[in-house]
Amino acid sequence: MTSEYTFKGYRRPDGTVGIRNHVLLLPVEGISNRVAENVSHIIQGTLDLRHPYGDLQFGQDLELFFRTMTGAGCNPNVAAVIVIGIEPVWVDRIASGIEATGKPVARFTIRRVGDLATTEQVARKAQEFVYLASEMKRQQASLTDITLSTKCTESDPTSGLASNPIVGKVVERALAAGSTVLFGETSELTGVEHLVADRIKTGDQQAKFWRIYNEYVGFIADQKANLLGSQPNQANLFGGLTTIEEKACGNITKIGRSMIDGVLESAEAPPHKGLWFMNTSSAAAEVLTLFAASGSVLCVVSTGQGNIIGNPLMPVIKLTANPQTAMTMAEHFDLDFSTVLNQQISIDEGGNMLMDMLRRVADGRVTASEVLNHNEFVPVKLFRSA
Amino acid sequence: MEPNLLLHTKQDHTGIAIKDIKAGEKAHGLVLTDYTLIELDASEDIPLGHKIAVKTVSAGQPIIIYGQPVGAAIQTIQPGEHVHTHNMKSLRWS
Repeated sequence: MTSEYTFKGYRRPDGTVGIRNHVLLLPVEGISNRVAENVSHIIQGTLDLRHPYGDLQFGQDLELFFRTMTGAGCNPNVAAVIVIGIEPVWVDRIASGIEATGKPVARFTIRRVGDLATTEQVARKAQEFVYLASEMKRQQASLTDITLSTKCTESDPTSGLASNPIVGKVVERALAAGSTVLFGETSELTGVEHLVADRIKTGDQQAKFWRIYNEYVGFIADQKANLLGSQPNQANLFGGLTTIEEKACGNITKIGRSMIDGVLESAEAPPHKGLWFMNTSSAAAEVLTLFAASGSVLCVVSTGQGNIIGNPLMPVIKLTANPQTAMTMAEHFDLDFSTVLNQQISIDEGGNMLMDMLRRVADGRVTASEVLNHNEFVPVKLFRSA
Repeated sequence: MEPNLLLHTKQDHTGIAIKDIKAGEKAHGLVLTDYTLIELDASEDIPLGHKIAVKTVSAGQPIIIYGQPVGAAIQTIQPGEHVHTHNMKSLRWS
């Protein structure tokens, strides 16, 4: 393995490799956020994943909720997890799912205990887990050991001209080396969906893609709404994108010429290495949350107009090729590719720079989104609770 | 002359401004597939990232970008005009 792919990461008991080492405080329901937040203030080195859901969800929505929460805990960037909730059955289900990875997991329920006593119990366990995590050592690993993901957001025509093709070069190289890569944004493939389907390697996975794609755009059509301003959104329109097809043509350049191994449901972990399309919305915080829940430890985000997104579970490498965005929002970008437009840097050179940044971030270099505390954890809710 | 306009393919009906182009200024377009150059006059302001027509597109006809139809002309569009939601619509959804 050449050095451009090697870094030092955290090997987990299940053989996966993480590039960060979080001690996670995972509330099951929105009302359990308070204890998680209390402890995050008391115990240095903990990460609380606050969210508003987990109450009276049912059916497919409940299954997605469990996949998201369990997946967050299983993410290889997480060293140890404390699951906190009101409802012991759901606490147990999520904690047991995470325990399957072999990493340290503890569980606490607030019912018949109350916030104050639970806060103390969780804090004492969190202190123990932080000591444990602090002695875990980074070990030699390769980009082929980790799952990457990519998303383009607040796109404009500079995305399709420069930043997405650069991401495409890196996706091609990472896949050739043996990595796992996720992409998504189901409805945003409208206009290139046939081209995407043709790149899926097997017939049954192509059929799954068409079922998922048609179901999603059917849902959108059923709302009988004017989509202009939503998809393409206001930033897309302001930046110069006019139609969903034009946006989709730019979007899909970020997987380069790669073939697609298969199709995943939201927050489903890929069954083997390769390039996977995941059924997602196109809202950045939702998409990144689903990617992290399916095991992605690092996400490459390209933006035209300047999405400031981050994710608590995985570092986000953010890049733009729009010179106005790069100049006015410089603190949000790890890489400025604005000189690609006037041919000072080629797409291939941009790919080399991004590849190098990927390896450095995997090795511990912090990203703009981490430094700026962008920790958007936004689980997807499919429909109203019962 | 340094290009201020990029075209994804030779078939494209529009180029993308990589600098703000003012009405009356020359647009110098670079075609990214074969590195040929085109030149035309901008008849309207074209902000960075926005599209300028480089060919005539009749009302109702598909608009080609990335070498593919990505919308249709709402009205006839002349070379040099700004192409956006006022004169271009999706072929797929409203």
